[in-house]
Amino acid sequence: MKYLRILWEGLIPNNPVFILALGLCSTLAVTLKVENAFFMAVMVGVTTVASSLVVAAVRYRIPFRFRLLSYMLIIVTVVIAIEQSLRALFPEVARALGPYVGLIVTNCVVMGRLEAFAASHRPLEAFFDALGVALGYAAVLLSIASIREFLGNGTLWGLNVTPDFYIPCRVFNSPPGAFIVFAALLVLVNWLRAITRRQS
Amino acid sequence: MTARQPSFLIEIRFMLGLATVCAVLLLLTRAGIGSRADQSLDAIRAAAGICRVELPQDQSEAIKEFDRQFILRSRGRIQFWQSRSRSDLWLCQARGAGMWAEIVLLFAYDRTHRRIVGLRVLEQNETAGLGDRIAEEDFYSQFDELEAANGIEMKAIRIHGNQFDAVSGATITSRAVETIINRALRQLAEIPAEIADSREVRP
Repeated sequence: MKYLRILWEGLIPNNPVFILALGLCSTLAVTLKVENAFFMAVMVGVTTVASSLVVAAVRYRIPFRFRLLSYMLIIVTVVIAIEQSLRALFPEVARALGPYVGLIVTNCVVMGRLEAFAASHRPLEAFFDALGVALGYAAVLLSIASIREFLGNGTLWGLNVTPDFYIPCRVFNSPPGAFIVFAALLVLVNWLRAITRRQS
Repeated sequence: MTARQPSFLIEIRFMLGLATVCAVLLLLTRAGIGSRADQSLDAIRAAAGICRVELPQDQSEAIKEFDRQFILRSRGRIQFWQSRSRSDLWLCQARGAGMWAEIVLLFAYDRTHRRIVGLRVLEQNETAGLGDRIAEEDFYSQFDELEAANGIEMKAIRIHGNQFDAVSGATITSRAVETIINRALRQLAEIPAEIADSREVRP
């Protein structure tokens, strides 16, 4: 039950993008297609979970003054391993994601969870927290990507889902489209939060 | 001060240990993936197109067939493969700075006749409508059987056999292609023509 609560905390009340406003750069950049967003979310998730587990396991040994350096080393190792695997197994996805795979290293979602949670909790708790945050990040990425791909291309994961008379609204394929969708979702989330707070 | 020293040493030892573990893990990943990280399917298909080799449709079969035909001789930013059947035919994948982003080129080179057999652009992100025309068939066709005994040269109008037409309005991109190819050719010239099989590079 305790672990489920930690998972839930990371998923909704501490959602990395909507509530903590972390990792916005990659969120806006890779959400052109659902497929790219999915792979990005998986990679950020794997990185967060793996580095959280490692940091939580050696949390008493990491020197305080070198803690950020240690986190960086651990994250870089995981990210490079993932990036090389992705380039070998899915070269087209790797090309579509471009530099953003390497930039997971500097993604605040990963570093934030290590510093705020994994460094002071047991590995199992850190695992569930990282999983929750990763799922929250994935949910946001996939929702933005679905809306952008649906409105901008009339497709979802490359499949045509709109009737023939639908004219795609190309602005959603451009950076301003990402901001518009993100802002709309942010308004919706904050409105829902305000309602639930008033009820409770 | 004396009390601080041991803890500082312990910290340094921890950091060195962590860095070593990370490096070993990365080496293991590299070994596990093998040469697949170096050969994208696009590069293999482009190489087959230049050398007129038939490759199977299936991805893993195509990679195996490529490995049967070519042997990796050098890796890094400039990679060379040598044909197993024609020892003077070399494939080169080279990268360098373009106008906006890195350009990755693949070309085949005939060392006996000192000619470029063909060229393909694998990755580029040049100006749309100007620089990105280096990835068009018209640009590629200039490099079919292009003389390259003393390197190649970009010119507005080609006069000599080792010159190619620059793309109009994209001088920097065309110059980048020239630089990348000449750098790769210089490096290729340093590799001895007859390399024993024991020099085969394996991950």
